[in-house]
Amino acid sequence: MKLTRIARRMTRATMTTGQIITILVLSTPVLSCNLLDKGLEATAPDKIETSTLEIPANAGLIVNSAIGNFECALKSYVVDAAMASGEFMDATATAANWAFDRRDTDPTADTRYATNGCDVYGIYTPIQVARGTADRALELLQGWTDAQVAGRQDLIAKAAAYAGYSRILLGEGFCEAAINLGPKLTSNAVFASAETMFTTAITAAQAAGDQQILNMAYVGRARARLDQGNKAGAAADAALVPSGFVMNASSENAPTIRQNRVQVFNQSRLVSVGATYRNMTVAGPSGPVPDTRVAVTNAGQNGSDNRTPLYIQTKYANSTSPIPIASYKEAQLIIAEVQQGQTAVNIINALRAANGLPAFSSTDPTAIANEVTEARKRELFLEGQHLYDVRRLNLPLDPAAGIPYSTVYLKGGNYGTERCFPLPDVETLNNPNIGG
Amino acid sequence: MDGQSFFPPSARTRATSKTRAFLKTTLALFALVLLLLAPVGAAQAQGGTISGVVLDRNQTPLENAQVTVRGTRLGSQTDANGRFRIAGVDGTTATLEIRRLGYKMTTATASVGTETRVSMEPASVSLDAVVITGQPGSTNKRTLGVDIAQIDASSVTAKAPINNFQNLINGRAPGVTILQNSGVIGSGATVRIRGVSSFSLSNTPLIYVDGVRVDNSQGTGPQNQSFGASTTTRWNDFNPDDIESIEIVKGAAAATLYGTEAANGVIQIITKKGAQGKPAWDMTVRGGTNEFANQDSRIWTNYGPDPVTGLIVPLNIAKREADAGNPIFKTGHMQSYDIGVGGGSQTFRYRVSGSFKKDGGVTPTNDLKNYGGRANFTLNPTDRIQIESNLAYVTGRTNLAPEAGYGGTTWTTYYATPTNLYNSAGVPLPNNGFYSALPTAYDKQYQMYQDINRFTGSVNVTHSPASWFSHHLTLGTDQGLEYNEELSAVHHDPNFSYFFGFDADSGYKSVFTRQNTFSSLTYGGTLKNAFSAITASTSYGVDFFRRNTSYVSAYGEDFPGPGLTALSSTTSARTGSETSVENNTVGVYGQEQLGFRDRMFLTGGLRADNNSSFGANFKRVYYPKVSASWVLSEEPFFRLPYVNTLKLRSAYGQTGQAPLPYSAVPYFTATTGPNGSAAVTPASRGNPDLGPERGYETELGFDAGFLNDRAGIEFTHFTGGTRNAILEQPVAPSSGYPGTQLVNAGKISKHGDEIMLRATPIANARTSWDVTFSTSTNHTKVVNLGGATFISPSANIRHTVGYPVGAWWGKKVVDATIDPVTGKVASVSGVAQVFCDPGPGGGAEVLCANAPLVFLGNTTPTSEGAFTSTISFWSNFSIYTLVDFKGGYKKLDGNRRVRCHLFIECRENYYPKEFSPAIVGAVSSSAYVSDLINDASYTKLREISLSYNLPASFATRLGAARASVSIAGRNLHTWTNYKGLEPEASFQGGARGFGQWEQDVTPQLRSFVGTLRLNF
Repeated sequence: MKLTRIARRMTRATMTTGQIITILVLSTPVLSCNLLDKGLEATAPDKIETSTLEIPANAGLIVNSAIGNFECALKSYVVDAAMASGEFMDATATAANWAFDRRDTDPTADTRYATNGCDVYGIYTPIQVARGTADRALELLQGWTDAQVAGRQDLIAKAAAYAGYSRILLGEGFCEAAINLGPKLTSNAVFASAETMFTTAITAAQAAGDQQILNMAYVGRARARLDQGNKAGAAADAALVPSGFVMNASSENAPTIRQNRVQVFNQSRLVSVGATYRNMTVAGPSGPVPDTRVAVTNAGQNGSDNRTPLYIQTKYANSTSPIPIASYKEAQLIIAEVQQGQTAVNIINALRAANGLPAFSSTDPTAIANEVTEARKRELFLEGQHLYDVRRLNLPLDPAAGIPYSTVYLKGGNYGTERCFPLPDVETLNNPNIGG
Repeated sequence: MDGQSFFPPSARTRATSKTRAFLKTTLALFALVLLLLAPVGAAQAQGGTISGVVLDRNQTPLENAQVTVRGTRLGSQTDANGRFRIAGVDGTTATLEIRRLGYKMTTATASVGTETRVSMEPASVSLDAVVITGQPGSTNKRTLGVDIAQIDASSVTAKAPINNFQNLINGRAPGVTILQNSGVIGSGATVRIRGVSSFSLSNTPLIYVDGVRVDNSQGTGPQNQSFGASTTTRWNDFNPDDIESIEIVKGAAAATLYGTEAANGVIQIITKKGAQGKPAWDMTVRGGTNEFANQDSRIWTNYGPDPVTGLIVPLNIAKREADAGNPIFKTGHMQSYDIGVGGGSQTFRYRVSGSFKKDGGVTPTNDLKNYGGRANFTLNPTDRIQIESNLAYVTGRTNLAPEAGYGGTTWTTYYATPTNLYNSAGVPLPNNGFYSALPTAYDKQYQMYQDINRFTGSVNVTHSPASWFSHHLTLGTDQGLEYNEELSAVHHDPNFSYFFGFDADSGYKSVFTRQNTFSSLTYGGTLKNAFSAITASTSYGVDFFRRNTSYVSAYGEDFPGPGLTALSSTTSARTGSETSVENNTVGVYGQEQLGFRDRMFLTGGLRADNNSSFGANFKRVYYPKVSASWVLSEEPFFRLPYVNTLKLRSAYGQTGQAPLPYSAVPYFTATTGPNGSAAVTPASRGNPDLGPERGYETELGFDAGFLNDRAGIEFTHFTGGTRNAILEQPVAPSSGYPGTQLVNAGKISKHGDEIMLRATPIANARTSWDVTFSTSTNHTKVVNLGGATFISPSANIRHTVGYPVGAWWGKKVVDATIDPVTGKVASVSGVAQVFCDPGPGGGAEVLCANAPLVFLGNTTPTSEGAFTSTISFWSNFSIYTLVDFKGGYKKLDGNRRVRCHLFIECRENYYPKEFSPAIVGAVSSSAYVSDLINDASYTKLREISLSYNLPASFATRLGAARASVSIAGRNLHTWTNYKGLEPEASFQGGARGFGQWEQDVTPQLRSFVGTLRLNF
């Protein structure tokens, strides 16, 4: 009431109603125009702007993130590559999964392999994200100083090694690829780029004294060289890898992107082990014995499509099982493939012995070469290696091209002739240096 | 980034301070003006009282009629008994003006101290109806250059079996399309006004309640349809019995003053307010049933090999179960109770209401139970200040049935197969022929529900310090908290293991909450002036709106055993997440309206907006509008036989829609790295140039009344579209970023016509017959896609330049070479000889393997309409009927896809010689969809009711002033050529996206409802 009286006095003394209204009407737009450019901030507690992230204090986080992105991409790649190469077969009623299992992937229509996340069959985008974050980490680290970033050389080694492995997956899995919005690259060009990355990693790992990354880079460079046909160079790098070495992609049960997708998809009845791998044996003195390297059980039920018999791999026991990225075993197989002869037989038998399997014996070069190929198929079962072996070594397609796809379920079409995934339209249409 | 960035925290702090400062400044300014000008207002006048009752021609009391004393600001509205009371009237007599939606404005002379009885005549065209939506303040319809639909909600709920807000709108406003989607109780429709406006953003209209924007989300709860599709909707939170009327702004020409985000139109709910007078109570009790009509004849026969003999045998599981006296889908029961009271004095009026509703679906796991309350108060401390508050609260639980991609009773029933009757040795299988689990097992295995607690409130202060000036301040909020839960508990039961595997053996639980907060502040004023025959009305205003939605979720797997269902009892895969989305808009507007002799009006306006989702390089947006109306029939020269009312109108306007929050900024999100370590991953590449979509529209039309307004027509033609339409352009993955980038690169054009006809063919003392017929068309076309020929937002859906937005595309099978022995498709060199349409270039049919995708049809209805009839007879009876229809669109019959293309259960699969080569070819592969995408046009007998006003003597015995009963039916019959189960059924959004895709969806339920209404 007191304020009202004051206001009344003010009004009578100084202003008329019309004057007050005039002030109000004129002041509103002035106040409002000022407001239009202010007061619009929106909070986002679950997002971090790129420019805020990329500071030296976050160097460890940035590299660790690149590794995490790669591990997730790798797990999805192993699943898709297994389907395309016959290690796995689809067991769902979801048509979006069928194309790459049928080996007739359409780069326009089939988006699952192209743009999905690494938890749902995606490979091209997850691998590129892994490569991009590793490349960016490397670029940032090379621009920062040791004073700014503790352990910079070791971080460089890690970033470069994972950048190299992302390129390996791109080159092996895809018929063509692009890097950093650049032009289309052949697989060989991608492998060459990977080799450069591994060389950077080797130099930095040696400087940092990180033996694990050093060994990983040796295996990686050996693989990149083998993929390019540089067998001698591959064998030379492989020979530097010590016995017992293995670098894994770790897995945890949660969140789902950290799970071993190979085990989870198989256990969840989304994929079944391919027919070729269901009862593999090794010849022994008393007859064939089950091949423990390709341990598979019949689940006694169907996949989620209710039609495809479900066979479960037991190489990865659960969702937390790690998946090898690089290993002494792989290095030895590279040596065996390059050296052939008794060296190869010895390596094959050493690996067999480690699995309690009977020894292999032959002096026939063709038999030995075939056994090396077979050893790679079985030793590296579900490690994302076989798809490129099919392409590189021109192995028979499994199942053969032309036969009807999924006879137990009307999924349509026949098995195709694809030995690598086509570069998806999401890249070709949106990359300004290709056609976007 | 100034003004746009949401980083770093220090910026947020500054922002919050700025926002607070703005709010404080605005409030302080308004308070100061009120304070300064309050003494100018006269004290509450003393005088006599006028009271009375307003009736329709059948002498039924009319609620919500506005009664004003001519030449004064005095007025009131009628209560539920049609009564009104106005105090403070000077003199002994006064002239009353009575207005009500759907009736002619009526004047009456009233004497102070005596009862006045006013009878109103219905009007087919009412130019004096008050419209408050889309305007700076209220105005008469005659001044509008645009068409704003008005629905007399209280009259509709009084006679029709309305079970939710969406059905209150359906068929009552031309241009508004309600796509019902699912028959699951608690589910919601998809609502479109004049088709679609956006490729990538929402196409859902905004909702305002009493001038305050509220949550309009659709599909917010547990994903009981999977593929990202939920069925619950916040539209169900509005109790139809609380609504007095609804106003619908249909397009950009009318929505300019709502600015950014109004491109899809605006639906305003005007709730019931208290009327001056003694307390008037009203009570409504409803009871009824919901059923899956004719399930045994509608659910199809499936085929498959007998597991023992291998012979192909049929199975109609719905008929089998019904014949055994155990129909698969049960009859659900509903009951609801609504009670309200309103009254008050000239200085204070109130209406308080409460409701309880329980509604049961056709599966035991589907029901809804909620409680609601509303309290509306109006305070007039002086005759120049009005303070109005509108408060509402609703709480309840919706238990959802799984369907569509999730499975459930529909899934296991629709796709039942003889192969699941027994094994090859003839031993019965647990499925008993159902496709997966027994329905009763589904009921026990999966529980999904949503709890909602929602408060909406507003305070509006209107101050009219002078006869030529008034201004108002409105504060509003909408606070909703959803709790959503999905549980798959452990059942140590071999059958459950067989049916559900991991889900029953280990189990899982998922919960998430969604907390939504809308805050709005609006200040505006209007200055009016008159110069001889010319009137001028100048309006201005400023809006601030904030939307903040936060999500918290948790998930876990592996319960150790039965009975353990808490999240803390899960033993693996436990995860949790939290995220929030915020968006802020500030807008300023001005409008000038000039009138000439109260029959010609010219209006121009401009709104400027800024929004937190705009890119750093995009500063602000301006939306202009201009409109004209001319009441030609009031011109002295007007002479047209039989035409007594004619208004011409035209308008042009723009509005917009803001990009998705944060889409302009490149950012990373947190993730889990190696060995559970902390990591981040790139999430969005951003686009600093991103701005709003701009809707534009030209509207032309007329309102005409004939035969002394016994018949009327409202016609509108609109043409417009969307410029700078936002496209989700995929990012080339080699950039290192996933996903898409929003760009303003598209353009959509659209046009259509809307007609509303009203007539009263019969009107006499004992009988009257009122009919309305409405219909509308809308046609969209993709004009530009930023250089692309098409983009595909989801499977079989494309936006293609030159074609309708979001249309069906696929290979169109036209023929096949048939193997004469098997009757199936022949194969040459491993290639199936199925032939398809060669595409727009024409020519001979081509092998489908090499055929292009062709246009197969619209996904959104291009025409819709309704016919309503109300026959009142013998004074106390009335029969109400609503028939609605939709046409010009196609639906993907996913049930056929699953049965014929995937599960091999159709007759076509086993007896191909009975079918055409094209059909045999189409079902030969899951890659073909042309046989699935069929015309879904339909006409439906939607509502029919018989009402009886009980004799006054009977009502008195119940202690009531009036009483009525009615029986009504809903979804009683469908006329359609659609070959699927239900032309209205569809996934509600999610990955199935733009299209109408019926697959394993519960059809619309047939309902019967009995209603008792009492007024005290």
